[in-house]
Amino acid sequence: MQNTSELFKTIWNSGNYESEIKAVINGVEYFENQLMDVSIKRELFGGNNVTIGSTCVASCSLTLTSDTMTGRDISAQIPRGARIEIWERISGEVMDTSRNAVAGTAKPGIAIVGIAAEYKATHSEWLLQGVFFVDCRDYTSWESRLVLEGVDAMIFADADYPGEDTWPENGKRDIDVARQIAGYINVSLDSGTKLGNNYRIPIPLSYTMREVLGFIGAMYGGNWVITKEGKLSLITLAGLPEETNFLVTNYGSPIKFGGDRILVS
Amino acid sequence: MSREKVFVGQSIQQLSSSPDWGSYSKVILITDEGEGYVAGDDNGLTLEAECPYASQAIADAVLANLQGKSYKPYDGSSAYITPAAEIGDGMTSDGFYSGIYSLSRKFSKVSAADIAAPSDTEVQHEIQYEPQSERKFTRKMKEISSALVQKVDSISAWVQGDQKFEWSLMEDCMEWKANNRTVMKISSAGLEVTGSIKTGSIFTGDLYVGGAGETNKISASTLRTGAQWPTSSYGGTGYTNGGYSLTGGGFGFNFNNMQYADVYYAQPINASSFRYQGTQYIPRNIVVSGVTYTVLAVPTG
Repeated sequence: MQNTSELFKTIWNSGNYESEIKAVINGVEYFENQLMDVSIKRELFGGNNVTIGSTCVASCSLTLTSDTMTGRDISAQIPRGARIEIWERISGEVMDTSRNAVAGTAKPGIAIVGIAAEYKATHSEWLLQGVFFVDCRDYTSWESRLVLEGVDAMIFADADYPGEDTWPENGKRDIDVARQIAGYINVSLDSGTKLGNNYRIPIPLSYTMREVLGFIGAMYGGNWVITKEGKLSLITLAGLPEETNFLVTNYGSPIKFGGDRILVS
Repeated sequence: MSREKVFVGQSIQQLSSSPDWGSYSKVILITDEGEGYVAGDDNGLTLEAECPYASQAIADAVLANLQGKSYKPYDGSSAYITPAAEIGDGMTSDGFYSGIYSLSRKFSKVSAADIAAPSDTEVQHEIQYEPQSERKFTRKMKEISSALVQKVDSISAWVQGDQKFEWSLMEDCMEWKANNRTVMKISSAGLEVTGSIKTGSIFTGDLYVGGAGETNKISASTLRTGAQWPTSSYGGTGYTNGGYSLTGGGFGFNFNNMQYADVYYAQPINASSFRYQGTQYIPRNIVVSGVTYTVLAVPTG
């Protein structure tokens, strides 16, 4: 799960929020009035069954309308293979703690002083929902609508492992190979990815980088993905958090009693 | 990224779940050579993957790591989950707990997503068997495959298992190949064979042995022939333009320039006579069993 601020959690836990998105394409921001039909699809397995050793490519689809770039060929403004970032934030009302003391009058001559909550509209920080690269496009000139289909950086691992003269004779450590592949596809290795067994990988003469990742993933009972923040991450089947029975709110926040979580048996 | 649990509760339009598939009980890692490293048994869920770097220890380690873990397939549509949720997080919904292994979002004002732990089928058979159709498919994929291909300009057929054999009939020739190497070819020029020929008898006009890179040898336990006439010179001083005759009637030399020829016998000679047929050149020495005999004169006439 991505890290979020306390403000984000507060808005989310209120259950009363609105989601807002924006796209940053080749460094240019496009907001909701310019975006239509934005979707993202992510999978862990290569098919419809549980596997290990998979390296799935996530995809996105978004439509830009003429509002964005009037009078010009909108497709021409976006280079081939351009980087697409999709961001989301949520907005809602949170208690304004700076103005929670209010004064009022119940009856003429009788003044009361009380505490009443005041809420203010606010929004959370932007959360990155994925980093993609334009794979194909469909431009309808009479509507001035551009549909972009993007794929994440995993697709770049579908290339031969670059030759290297300095490969150790007894193989290179798996974590170093994973880090090297991450570098080749211009992402970083997610800090949560731990390859603790130090398996030695022989020089991969006839494999693609994606295949090599899959082989390493299989040795740890896992599959590789690119996270929403664009990092290479190994998701092991054994790494699923343990199920617990703590009491939570309707929105998943822990309910605490005296600072302790409440376990439902 | 840290893997955490996402609470969905009842904020999901539809959730269909399959019965728990049970714990992972078997891991199979298959190398490029088709060798499989198997850990565990068939009492639960099997995971299989290709891995040329696999070993038995690695397969054992993968299974050990999964010990006690289970896979719970489900399919949930329009689940209201936090935008911070990632693939691999856990998901709790109304008492059901599994992982988020598929995540599809169509962005709107609410943060809804289709989430799943996918499965090929919602039925997990409790009796382990391989249906006939799957068995045929497995046999085709893993053991052997074949094809008969008819094109406008050729007909070919092949069978592939651990090895591959094929034949092709083309406009100008017919070829047989073993492991993609032509072993026999018939064309208007004749028959070309690569490799050895085993046959009962060969009746032929001329027999040419060897070629580029060959050793030019005939090997036989018995070589029966009317006469052998070497036609080329044998390397070495004094043996040019010569030859020998090995016939049913005797063994003779026919050197064009006998004055430079020496003849060595590796074994003792038991002969009634040495006969020289000629008129010009006489051997100077005859060496028998290491003793050199000088030829003083040869009767003529």
